[in-house]
Amino acid sequence: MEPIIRIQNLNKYYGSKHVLKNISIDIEPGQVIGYIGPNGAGKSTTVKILVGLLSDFTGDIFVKGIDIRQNPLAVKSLIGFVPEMAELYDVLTPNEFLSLMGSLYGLTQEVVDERAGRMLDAFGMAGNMDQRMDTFSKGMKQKILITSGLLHNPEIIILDEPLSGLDANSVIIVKELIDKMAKSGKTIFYCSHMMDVVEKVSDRIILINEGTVVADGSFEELRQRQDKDSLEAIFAGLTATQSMHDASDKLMNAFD
Amino acid sequence: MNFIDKFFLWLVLLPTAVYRKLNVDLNQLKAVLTAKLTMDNRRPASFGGRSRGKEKKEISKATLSTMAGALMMGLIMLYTFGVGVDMVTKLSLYLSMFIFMICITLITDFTSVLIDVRDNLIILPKPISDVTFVTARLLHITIRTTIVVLPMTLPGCITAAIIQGPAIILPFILMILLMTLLGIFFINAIYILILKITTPVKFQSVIGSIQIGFVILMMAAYQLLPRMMQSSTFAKASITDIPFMQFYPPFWFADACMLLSGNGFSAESMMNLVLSIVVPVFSIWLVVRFFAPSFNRKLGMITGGTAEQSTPVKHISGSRKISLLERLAGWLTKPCAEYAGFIFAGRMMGRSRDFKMKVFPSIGYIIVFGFMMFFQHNSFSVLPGSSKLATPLLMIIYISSMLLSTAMLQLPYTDKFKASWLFFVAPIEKPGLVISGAVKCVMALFFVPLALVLVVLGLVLQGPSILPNLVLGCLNVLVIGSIIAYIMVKQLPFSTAQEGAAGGSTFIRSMLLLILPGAFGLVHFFLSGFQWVILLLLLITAVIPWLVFDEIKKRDWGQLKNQGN
Repeated sequence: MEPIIRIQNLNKYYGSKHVLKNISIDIEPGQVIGYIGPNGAGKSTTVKILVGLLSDFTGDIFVKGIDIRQNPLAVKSLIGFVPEMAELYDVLTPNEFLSLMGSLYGLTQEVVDERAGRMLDAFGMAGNMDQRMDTFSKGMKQKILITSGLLHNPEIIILDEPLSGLDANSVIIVKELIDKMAKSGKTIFYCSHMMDVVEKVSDRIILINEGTVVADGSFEELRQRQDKDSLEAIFAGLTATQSMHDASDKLMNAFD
Repeated sequence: MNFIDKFFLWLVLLPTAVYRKLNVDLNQLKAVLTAKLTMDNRRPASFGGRSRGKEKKEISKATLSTMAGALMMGLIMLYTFGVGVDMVTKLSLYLSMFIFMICITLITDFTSVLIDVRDNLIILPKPISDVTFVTARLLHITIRTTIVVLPMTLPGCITAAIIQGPAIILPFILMILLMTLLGIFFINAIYILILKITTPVKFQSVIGSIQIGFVILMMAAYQLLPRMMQSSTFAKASITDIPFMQFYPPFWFADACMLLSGNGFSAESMMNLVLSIVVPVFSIWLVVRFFAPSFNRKLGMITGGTAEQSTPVKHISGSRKISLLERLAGWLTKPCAEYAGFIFAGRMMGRSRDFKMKVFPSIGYIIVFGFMMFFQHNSFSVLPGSSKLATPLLMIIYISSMLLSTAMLQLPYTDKFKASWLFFVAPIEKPGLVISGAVKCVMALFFVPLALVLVVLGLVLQGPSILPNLVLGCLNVLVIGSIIAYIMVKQLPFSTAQEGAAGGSTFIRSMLLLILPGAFGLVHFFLSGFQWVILLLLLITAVIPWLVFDEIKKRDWGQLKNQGN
């Protein structure tokens, strides 16, 4: 099968800092990719390049066979993006914000109204459609962001820490949603720090550290390879430069 | 912190014995004040310190620029000393200006100080006693006020001393002090009133509207007052001739000031002296005794009050009502990106506090200017071959292009610039489409209504003969607006941080903003007599904006000034 996302020799510099070093990944349609790594590993940079926020990179990216450089618009139309704790124009209401997003993706007002109404209803936010978002809690804003990312029914969904701020029930909804979307053939690129969630939702886990891929495979494969029980332990084994116990000891010793 | 803050901090911490007696924790007091003053110094200054472009680096001298701004204001206020025949009149006017200024400063600048909701999360959970916290807050407000009041009143004090002799200096300072107290009371009363009327959740937005109202008023006052005072009747007037002056507080203070400096003693002046001392002291007692406690209690509710507590508005399902904005967008823009830009700009301009603070004062200016033009139109030289009314109406039209360009220049800026990620993620072929939609919206909201009013006014008062000239004027403003948009608006609407805004060519920009309307207006003025030329120009100018808009729409991602985030 032709990969839906093909990243080849991706390099990215911030000034003289080399943040992505020769990353090459092929992603099959319908896969749920758990993209993990420590702070500053290059996760967000990869995501920003994929969604078109950053364009000054070297290497090639093809989405459904389309070169992201040649035809960024076609690629953007295929992708739905749920940013991490994104800023919102919170003087707008969810209705107005989603209409804006819909217009930018070329949806008609009727379609936006219909879909947004149903999705927010599912999140239990139908009553908040016409309230300004400046009074919303973090979780409410996150629900709006998830809705806005899915509104145009994209084939690829890129989620950057989508569960932050959500209450337990909404977490269940989103996790099941990811599962159902993958089953319906959508490709999910899931960026997160929450190892237990990544472990459960992903078909394939890609771990990056200091700009390079250090592990790639299903949870089972990684577990056998690393001989560890949990993703947390695998993660620590591959990325920690010093023992965690040392670090926590040092923290405790700071009081002496 | 700079030396001024350090000095004030040192000064307010001097009476350690007093604080100990009050059970104030000195270390905590110092820590809180240091943090607050450091933050103040990094906040944009209250008086015009937000010059775009120049300050690319982070703000670090806000205190100094606030003081410089206050000094400028103080110098401007000196013109009150040129009005009226006697010193009481001059002082009354000066003090009126002063209390007005101090109230505006308090409401625009101090709201963030008084209502720093972060205090509730950061300071209050720490083991800090109420008395320490309240003392810190009071001292902070005192320092902030002093930083503004001192430079603002310095020129006035010197001028008064030159006119009246050094005996007036001490009474002057005393009266300024008392008036400041009165100002604080006044603002507190307003806050309490708002909190009584609305919910704490809405408090900040109401304060925001009041601030904008005040700024518009200030703008109007600054345009109107000097002109009123220049007229000969005012120059020779004395405030004592006006009936019911007894009820005007600045008059008490002025009269009391004169009395204390040894100029004229009367029972009436004695009365004014008593009033000017008793009223502020009593009102501050009111604030401390009654207002502050309930105020703080209500303030605590501001952070607590999120949407979960407010009752959800039920979404009306079924057929949606199409708003005026959407209708306008439908008429004026092409679907998708341009339409979205129009609607987005329309909604944001009406709600973004930052935008309103920057742009709405110009509306006050246009209104004041409009009234002045209208009521002084007899003094204008009559246009060749045209009516008396045409010149003032045309002048209002051309002046209103200032409002248009102010709104246009402010269009890309917002505190929430990071929220603009959505434009970069969405499949927009050319960002010029969004920009063009937003610029059209600015024109539709900030010029077209005024143009309609003026055209109708001209028609009613003068008849159809005035029409070609008025319409040409309006079209010219649209041409000016679209040219300014083409040259200046190079970012997506509401996508750029105000401080980091790289204005660059401030000089060229301001020249352009002045010269364009001036040039168009002048040429129009000289040609206005030739009816056929006007008609021909009408045809040409009707096309130009559309051509310019086509160019704006072609702007692609590479031509944007800010590249994502």
